[in-house]
Amino acid sequence: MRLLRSLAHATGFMMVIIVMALCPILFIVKDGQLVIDAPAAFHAVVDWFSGLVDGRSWIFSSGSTTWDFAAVVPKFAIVTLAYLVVPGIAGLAGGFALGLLRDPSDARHRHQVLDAALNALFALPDFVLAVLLQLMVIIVIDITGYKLFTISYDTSHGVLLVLPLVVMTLYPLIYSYRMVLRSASHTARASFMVDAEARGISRSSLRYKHMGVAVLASLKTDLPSIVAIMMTSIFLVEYSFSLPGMTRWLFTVAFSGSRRGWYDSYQFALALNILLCMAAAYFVTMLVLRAVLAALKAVVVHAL
Amino acid sequence: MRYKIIIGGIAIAVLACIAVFPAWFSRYPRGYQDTLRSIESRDGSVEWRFAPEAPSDTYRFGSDNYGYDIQTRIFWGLGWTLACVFIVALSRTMVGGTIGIIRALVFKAEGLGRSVSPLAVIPSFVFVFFLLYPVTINSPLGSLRLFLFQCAVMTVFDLGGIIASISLKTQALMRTSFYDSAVSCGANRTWLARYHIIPFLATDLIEAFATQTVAVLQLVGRLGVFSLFVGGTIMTLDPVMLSSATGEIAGLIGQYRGRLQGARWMLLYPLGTYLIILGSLRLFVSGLHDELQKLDRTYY
Repeated sequence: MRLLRSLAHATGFMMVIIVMALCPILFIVKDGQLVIDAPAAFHAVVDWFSGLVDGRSWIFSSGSTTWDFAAVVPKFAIVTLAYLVVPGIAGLAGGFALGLLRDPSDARHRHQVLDAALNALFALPDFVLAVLLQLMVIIVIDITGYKLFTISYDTSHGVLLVLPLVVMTLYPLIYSYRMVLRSASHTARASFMVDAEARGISRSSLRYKHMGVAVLASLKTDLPSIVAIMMTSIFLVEYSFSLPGMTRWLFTVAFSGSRRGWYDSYQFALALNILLCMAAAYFVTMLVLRAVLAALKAVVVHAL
Repeated sequence: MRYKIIIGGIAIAVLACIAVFPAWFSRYPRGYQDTLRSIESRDGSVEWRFAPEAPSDTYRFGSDNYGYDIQTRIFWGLGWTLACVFIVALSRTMVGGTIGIIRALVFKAEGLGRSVSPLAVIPSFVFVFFLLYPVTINSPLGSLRLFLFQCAVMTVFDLGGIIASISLKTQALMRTSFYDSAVSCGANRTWLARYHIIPFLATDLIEAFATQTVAVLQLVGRLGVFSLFVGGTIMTLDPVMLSSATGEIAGLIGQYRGRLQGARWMLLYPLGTYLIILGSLRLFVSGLHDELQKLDRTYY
């Protein structure tokens, strides 16, 4: 029964993504009216499924060149995964450490300043933060002549750039930090904490072995929200910093037709393949971050 | 923190005033363009000025490559941005709130399931992009019809959060003694919703509306990065460019996004305006949240 439910869920999930990829074919403007072109959409889906067998669904064009999807996807997928996993680990572990090291009852001025600064950063949309960071680097170059960081990807540098990593790390870090603080303040009043304190357990043991483990459990329930935030940011970050990842590939090639980066025509098969790869990237990121939480739990229980 | 509501509210009121009466505030009429102009000095010499012009007394926010005054574009485009933000936020609150209440009253749903939503995997703005892409670029629908369609599409996505939140709060109200008493007295669902649910959800709905304004502004901004602008995108081949049909703020940011190294004012002024709108809305939402927290909500 559970297997059947999982299968039904996976099918429904895939259908939503297929319908989404079909939208540019399904909704068209004809004679000044918005119409639904169901036959075209139906043919596109049938073609995609039949093309999976004979290989047509794995072919796409970029400019005037035809490419094999399976041959090039690893190159793009690695970049996207790197920008999801590395900042995800740094953000989650950093937010946990920052939140746990701070005493929830401590409301000193410097903590209030830190919280206000983090809240202000979190309130900035990712694309605005990306532009502001790029602008900051250019202004520093104008004033001092010194280039702090590369502002967008080019082939002479590696794909791992500081600014996009900063943008991708900040949101999970601040979110985890806030969640840890909230959870820690709840946990501090829990009966098992009061009991442990009454038994004379040391403050460090209370903080790490009792509160740390409880906080990690709540962080685990918030993991889908953290990964969802990162999934939104990755689209903006890859596009803003011209990173050769899957989401930029989607917007610059799947919609471009003969002009790269232009909105000329639409390649349904490529768009759907990329969206399904993004779904896979989501689950890989989720698995890695769950492993990170397990590792953090081992550290707070055994090493601290 | 009442000062947050006051400052945020005043800022929103000023922005709304500019949005409703742009002609009062801008120096030039809508669509004003001047690519080349001459200035004659007292000694009779003539100086030629070419677009783009840096901010000056003539163009306070500067002009763009095609001679459009940035300030005029911002003031005339502000209305589209604010209208989209408030209309979509209001529709989301009303539609999501209604579904949330019905969900709790009729189906007695226990929150949302724990399964992974496709909206978590693929962000909602990408869904919106796929839906709007076929009709937004060089749209024959016209700015107003397209705007209404865009608002409808933006309303449908991201309803899940409001539905779940209002549904949970309705369920909490359904566990109160006054609700039980009304049920015992034979009140039907319409009566219960009208007199025992909706009045107590009013503050939550107001807060949800305020929160949604920020969410919609972010959504519009994200779409703007990908050149999908509120009111339509005009794609021209000579010159090769994607420009905003209405000049709404996120559209201007998307259009001038590449202006980081030269003629930076083109990007900075629309970006600054976007941040002022975002800051005002956030301040107001934060103040409203703080005020509502103070209210007695013991019935939950």
